[in-house]
Amino acid sequence: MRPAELGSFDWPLFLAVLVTCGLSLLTIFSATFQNPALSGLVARQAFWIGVGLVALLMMLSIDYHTLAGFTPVLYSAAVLALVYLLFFGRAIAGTRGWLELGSMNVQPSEFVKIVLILTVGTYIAATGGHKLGWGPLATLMILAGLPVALILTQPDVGTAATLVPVLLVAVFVAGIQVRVLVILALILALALPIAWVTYFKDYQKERILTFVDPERDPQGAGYQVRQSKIAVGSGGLTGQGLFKGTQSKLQFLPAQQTDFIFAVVAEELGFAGAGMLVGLYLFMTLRCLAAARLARDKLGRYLALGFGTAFGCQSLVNLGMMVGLVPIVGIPLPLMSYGGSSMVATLMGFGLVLNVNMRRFVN
Amino acid sequence: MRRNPVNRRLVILVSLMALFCTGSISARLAWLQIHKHDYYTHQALNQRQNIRTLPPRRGDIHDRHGNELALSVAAEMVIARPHLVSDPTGTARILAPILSRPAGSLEETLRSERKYVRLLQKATPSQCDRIRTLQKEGGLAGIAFESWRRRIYPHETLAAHALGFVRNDGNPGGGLESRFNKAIHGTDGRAVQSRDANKDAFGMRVLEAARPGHDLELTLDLTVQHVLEEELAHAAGLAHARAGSAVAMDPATGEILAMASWPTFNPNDYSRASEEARRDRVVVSAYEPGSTFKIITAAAALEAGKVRPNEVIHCNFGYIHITGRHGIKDHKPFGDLTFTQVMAKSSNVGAIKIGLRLDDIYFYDTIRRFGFGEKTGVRLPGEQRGLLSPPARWSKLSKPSISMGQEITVTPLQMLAAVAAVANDGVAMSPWLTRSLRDGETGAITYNQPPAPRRVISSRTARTLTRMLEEVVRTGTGRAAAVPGYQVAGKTGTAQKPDPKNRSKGYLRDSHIASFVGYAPSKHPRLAAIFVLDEPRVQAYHGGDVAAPAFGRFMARVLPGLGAAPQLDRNDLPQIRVNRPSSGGARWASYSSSSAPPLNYGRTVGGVMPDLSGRSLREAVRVLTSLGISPALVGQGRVLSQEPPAGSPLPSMEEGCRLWLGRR
Repeated sequence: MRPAELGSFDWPLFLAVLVTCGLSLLTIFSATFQNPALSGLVARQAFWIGVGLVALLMMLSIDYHTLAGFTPVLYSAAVLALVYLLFFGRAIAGTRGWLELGSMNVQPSEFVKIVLILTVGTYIAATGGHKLGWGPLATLMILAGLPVALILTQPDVGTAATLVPVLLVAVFVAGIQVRVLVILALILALALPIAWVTYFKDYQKERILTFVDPERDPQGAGYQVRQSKIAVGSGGLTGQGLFKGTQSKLQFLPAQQTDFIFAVVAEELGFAGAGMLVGLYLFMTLRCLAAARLARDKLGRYLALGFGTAFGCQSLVNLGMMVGLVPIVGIPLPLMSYGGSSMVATLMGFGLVLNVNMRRFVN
Repeated sequence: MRRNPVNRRLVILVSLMALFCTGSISARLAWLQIHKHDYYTHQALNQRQNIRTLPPRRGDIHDRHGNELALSVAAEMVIARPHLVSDPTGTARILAPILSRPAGSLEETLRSERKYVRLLQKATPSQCDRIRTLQKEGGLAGIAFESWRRRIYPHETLAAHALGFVRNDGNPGGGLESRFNKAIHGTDGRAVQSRDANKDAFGMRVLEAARPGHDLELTLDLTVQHVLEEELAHAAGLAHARAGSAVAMDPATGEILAMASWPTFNPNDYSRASEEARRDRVVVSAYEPGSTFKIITAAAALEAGKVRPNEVIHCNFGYIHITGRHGIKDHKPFGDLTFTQVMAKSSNVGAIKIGLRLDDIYFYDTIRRFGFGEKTGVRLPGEQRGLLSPPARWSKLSKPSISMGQEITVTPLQMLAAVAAVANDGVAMSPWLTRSLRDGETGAITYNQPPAPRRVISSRTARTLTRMLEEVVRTGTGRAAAVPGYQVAGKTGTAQKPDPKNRSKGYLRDSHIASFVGYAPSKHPRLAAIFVLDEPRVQAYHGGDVAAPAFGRFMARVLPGLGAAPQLDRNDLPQIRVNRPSSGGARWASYSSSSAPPLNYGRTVGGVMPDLSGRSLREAVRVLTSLGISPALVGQGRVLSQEPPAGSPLPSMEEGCRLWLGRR
């Protein structure tokens, strides 16, 4: 790392990430301090933030071109890990996506996201200035499709879905022939109804149908949307006060330290706090995109854009869930929701973006 | 360095999309949090708070002497919160023997998705103690207790039909508990109860405290009720009857001292009682009375001057031709009988001949005046009015039929009330059962005012009829109703039951309703009573065989306790001849006892001797002193009899009065 690089370090983005992590600890504490069974969560999350920041520094200190050189190894390791999970993974909430490491459960699919961004970036950087034809596109599809398929078989549709923007952005960054794009769109349009019938589980269909018509099932899938809206709505302009949210404290709000953590913020800090948090996420996303715009080469551009899009999409989908704009799917809010793997992987991703940004000037 | 314009545009496009999405989310956030804030705050409140009703203390029901017949006591129920039960199998195994439930079904309950289950509503203190002991040792998580008020009937089946019962959920099931539920129940309080998502209650704010219910005091007398039920059950058993009912009332006041239906039930265990057992036959079962109704025919004929007691009626040879092919058979060929004998021997032909002398409208009006064809107004649920067609709808057969108690249906209470009017010198007192309501909060007492007395027949007719009814018991069909030491007046009845398949005219050959209605002592009646037995299945099934003995035994057991001195003794006492007040309301409101409101005297008696029988010495002296009379006392205990008798003009200071006292 050279002084010149440090000088162009994106301090505002790093600060925003740190503030969000702090807010995460505060909100998880608020959501769990009443429940003795969950008392250890804040400390664990703090530990994972620490691990994540170390990982971020590591991702930052090595030039991203050097990192790209490791992609074949990383990619193979990732695919192997996912295959291993299929047979020996630990099932939590019906998903065989967890690796037991001592007393901790690690979710490899979160790290696969970072590996995939690196892999895809490395591949399209190698394609040069050509637009993607059938051949390279197929390669890209297989490259990205393999881990996605493995995650889908766990089955973890939520996490798999967060990988889709990574691929989509790659296609656009590399450029694509119009003919290919149209045919792909047609295939997708045909595939969706088939997937609806064959792949989606009843509870997943139910969630989507319930989103369209919330009165379908007020106690089941609709219950969560309703509870989320009530918590958010009862927050008002300034909130009920930190640690004083009635809907979360009385356990009406489901999964409040994970997927529904934003509703806790909205209830306790009101529109003032929740609005600011939404602003924070927009800011972080835009900083990633800015890094992409300023990146010195295609690889850097893709790395920043790929992660920024993935992060932005996942955040927006989660926030959309909380306010009832998006159906309830099991996607956590990155940097806020409780969960070590997601936290570490996300911080690694920001390390990547900061890396690209820091090394934007060719010496 | 060459910047790729396509990629640059892509970045800007993605940024714009991010801005747009964030904008939508912010707008939606503002909509939910600011515009819809009140709505969601309300939803949140609704979710965690609900308005809970606070059950008030239910009022007690007691008899005229303050004996509790129904009361509510604090009780506990065992409940479970399945989501808090950590070990359903173990918990079920431990609880099963305590709750006497199979462990299997218990475990199933504890594994259910419900957040709250009642395991045992009527838990005994020992069951609760055993569970509490186990919980102190650190077991049985998720099992808890909840307090409620349980209705208990300390005398079990006693007066069950009059009282009714209260279900475990607090709702009444029949009887006075239903009819007076509004007053007895009290007013529900309201409170806000906060709950979390697991339905665990954690805070309550009382908005409006519950107001306790009124205590209901009845005219019933525990002792008389007990004897009546015993005699009814005994008689029904002896007669192998399908069912039966009996009522006893004070003819002077209309107060019902006892009422019973058989078969009976235990209101503490109402769920095990059959519909048949719960039937309050006294007011609900209307039946064709048969010969007891001849009292009414006789009253109408005597009042109209159409017959004299010693007039000879030619009763043929047991058959009377009415019209066309129709005739009515008597049970025996009686030949010539005086009218008194017609009643004593219960001749159908005789009664019909007398009935036929009456004008339709006059007969009908008299029947109505006696209270038939309308409710007595006793304030018990389900009371029937009975069937009585107006003369315009009568056939040629109607008047003869009604004369002997067919083509009309009556309830036992109607029949008794009508005969009690004869006993009370021709003045009908509406039967009543509820004396007062005592406010559970303030203690203020509201007395129920019974309807005003109505004269039905003249005093002269009443006395004449009483002499004829005495003859029934002395020499006629009702001999079994005689009570040693007392003169009894009454009438038997044995009615064929109408064929349910042929309502118009057919009667069942061997299904009867046997009854006896009467009063004693006949000169100054203290008590009128009726016994009705439905379908006695014995050789001697007549009213005189199965119902009259029950009446006799009942009267023999209760009359002394009610302070009715044996009449034969009274003749030896120096009598002071008095003129009764011309109003005719000879002794109304004069039945009284220790808990009767003394305030009534000034208003109801005004210048005549109050009835002091049954009162304690202290009370009697207080009442007399307030009227300026000092009594001479014989014996000790409660007042058995008095001189001058109740209803006579007040004696002067010099004359004074004398009370005979004794223990019951």
